[in-house]
Amino acid sequence: MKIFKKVALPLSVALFWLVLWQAAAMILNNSLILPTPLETLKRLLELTADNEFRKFTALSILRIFIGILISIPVAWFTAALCSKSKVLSSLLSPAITIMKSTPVVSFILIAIFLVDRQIIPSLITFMMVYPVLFENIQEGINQTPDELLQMANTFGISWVLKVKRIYFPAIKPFFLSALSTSVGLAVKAGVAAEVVAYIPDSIGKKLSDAKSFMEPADLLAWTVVIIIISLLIEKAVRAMTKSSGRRSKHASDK
Amino acid sequence: MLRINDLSKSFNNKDVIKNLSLSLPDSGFIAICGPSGCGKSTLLHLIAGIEKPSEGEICFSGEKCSISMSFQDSRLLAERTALQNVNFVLGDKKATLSRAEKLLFEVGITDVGLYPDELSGGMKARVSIARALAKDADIYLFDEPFANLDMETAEMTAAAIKKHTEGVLVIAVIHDKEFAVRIADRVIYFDETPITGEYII
Repeated sequence: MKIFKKVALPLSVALFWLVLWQAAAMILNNSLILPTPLETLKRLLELTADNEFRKFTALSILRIFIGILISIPVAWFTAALCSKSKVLSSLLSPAITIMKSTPVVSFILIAIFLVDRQIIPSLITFMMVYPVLFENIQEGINQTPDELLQMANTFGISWVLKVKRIYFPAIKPFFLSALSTSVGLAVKAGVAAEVVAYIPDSIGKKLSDAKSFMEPADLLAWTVVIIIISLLIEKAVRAMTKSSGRRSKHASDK
Repeated sequence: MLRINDLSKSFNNKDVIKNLSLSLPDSGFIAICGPSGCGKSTLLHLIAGIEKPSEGEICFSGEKCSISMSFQDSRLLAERTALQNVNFVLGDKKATLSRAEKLLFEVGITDVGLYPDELSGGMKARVSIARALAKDADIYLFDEPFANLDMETAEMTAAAIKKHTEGVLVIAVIHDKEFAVRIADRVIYFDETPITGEYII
């Protein structure tokens, strides 16, 4: 039963969609509109064998990672400041609302006029991830148990220790769940930025070229690459979330 | 010396403490008894500075008065072991772990690596007591420290409290009046709600 759930079921689901794709391609019978799964796989293998593929993929991932990595400390810092200052919180609130509600393509088009093209994917990734992290960290701060803070104040515990042992454990589940949901968003937004801003040496540029040169097999192959990257990053973050959720007994601390 | 002058505290317009005056010495074990919900814990919270008085004042002799407290609901850090919880008030340093461990042994906790969700109510209370004793203070407050303990363990824990609080003031809310009379130097019994009156000890 376990083997069925772990292996057979996902394989059957994948097979169902592949058959559906194959059927649609056969009905359309035009690889310029919809190539078959086999044609796409063939093109994907050709692409991965190319040195440029590794370079473009690595650079795209790097740009997205930079956006995520910058948004993490900025979200922690601003959320902490806003929890202490209502004025700052009120000042930042419209910016967060705008970042959340504005279509990503508007930001990309505005960014094209304002900043260097190379930093657009990182900037857009930041703008997608930051508000999600900020709001969740703030929620974590609000949910920090008052009783524990009262206890720490009674014992005259330093603020560093309060942050480390009371605030951080309270915020951690909110932060990790936000990070887990926003990385998928980050990959999509980052690649969209590369497509619209036509960033050299990027997956986005390759996608854009595939569309312009009417190469749907390339388009689908690169899309598969993006899906795999997104899934791998999400899996990595989920694994991180799970492992940090576990309590560890350090030998020295018993 | 701890002086409480005309202290009043109300929650949602309901008086819990009304015009209470109390003078306590610099040292000794003072037990506070009274029916459930009469405001004994609120009094400890007011002395600890967790709650602010609605009226009146609490004065301590000396410029600086440090307070340590064991809470009725233990208030342990869920992600830290019993040992780490006690060590928390010692600055969370490796060097102080042996002191924290010794205190836990004295209150009968030998499996110091257990997390709060692995401890019984009585064990949590004793970890909270050990944590309170870990801090050097002028006043120790214990809120129902023996509530979940059998008589033998309560006696052992009371002995540990007395050993570590010699020469300072201990105020403990104790539900069991007979036990309070046996272990405390003085017992204050509040028999009405809100707590009121004038007491000089």
